[in-house]
Amino acid sequence: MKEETEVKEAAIPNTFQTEPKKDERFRPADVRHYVDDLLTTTLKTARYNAAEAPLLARELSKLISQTLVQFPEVGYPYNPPKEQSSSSAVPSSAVAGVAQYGAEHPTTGRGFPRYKHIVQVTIGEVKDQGMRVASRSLWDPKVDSCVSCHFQNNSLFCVAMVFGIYFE
Amino acid sequence: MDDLQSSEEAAFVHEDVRSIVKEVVESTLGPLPQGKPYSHESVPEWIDTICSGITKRLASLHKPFKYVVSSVIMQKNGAGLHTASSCFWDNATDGSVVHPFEGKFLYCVTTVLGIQV
Repeated sequence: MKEETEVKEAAIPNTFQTEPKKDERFRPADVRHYVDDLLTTTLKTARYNAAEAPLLARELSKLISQTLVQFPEVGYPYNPPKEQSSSSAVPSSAVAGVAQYGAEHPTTGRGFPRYKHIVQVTIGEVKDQGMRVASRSLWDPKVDSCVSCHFQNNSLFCVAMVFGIYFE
Repeated sequence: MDDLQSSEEAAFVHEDVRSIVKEVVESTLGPLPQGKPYSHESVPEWIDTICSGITKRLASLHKPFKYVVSSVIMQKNGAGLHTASSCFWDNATDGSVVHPFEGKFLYCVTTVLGIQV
């Protein structure tokens, strides 16, 4: 038996790059467009449901995160208008709606290389209560950025925050 | 930089961060289990105290990290609240701490995310 004892060190040369290239920057405006569209499409008719809400929050944040990894280099993932109505069937639940939205908006870009991101989704019930969401960050304002979108109907509200953080 | 990266100094120490968050939140919103009553006028001030207090304490740790602190305060009247986050990062170095606070009159969920530079 031959034993493989030799462990190869990953040979990644230093790039000496401390800033993102011009076309690799995080684009808050495009991300906002995408997240806004996602929230309005999937939550327009949703009702608050205590059993489904945790799953919905998780699925939303997962979908946004996956999309960001493959975000297009220009613009944002959008759905080209279609003639046939087969795919625009009304989803049975908001969670199914999220999955359908993901399937209808495939992305093949290379995202934002050298960026780490965090997606935080808060879903709550509207019941005349007071509520406030705030965030504060300690980072480099030149390269790091955040997007915050909110959506509300008469049953639930949703706040989605996306933070893009440059990794040197 | 080598010794920094190899030692524990460079890692996200959950216990330290958790105790900072707990201290700041409880000193702002009053001791448990009672907590302060919900007041619409004071909430912006509280939330600012919490977020900036935690950020300042984290900055004084002098670690090679960028931090994101976010906080939600909601009046307690039976309404539901859920938060979820997905992160795309390096599990070995980056980390998060969530601190839920439930007083008699309000909920406060504070999340701290630390990302190594």
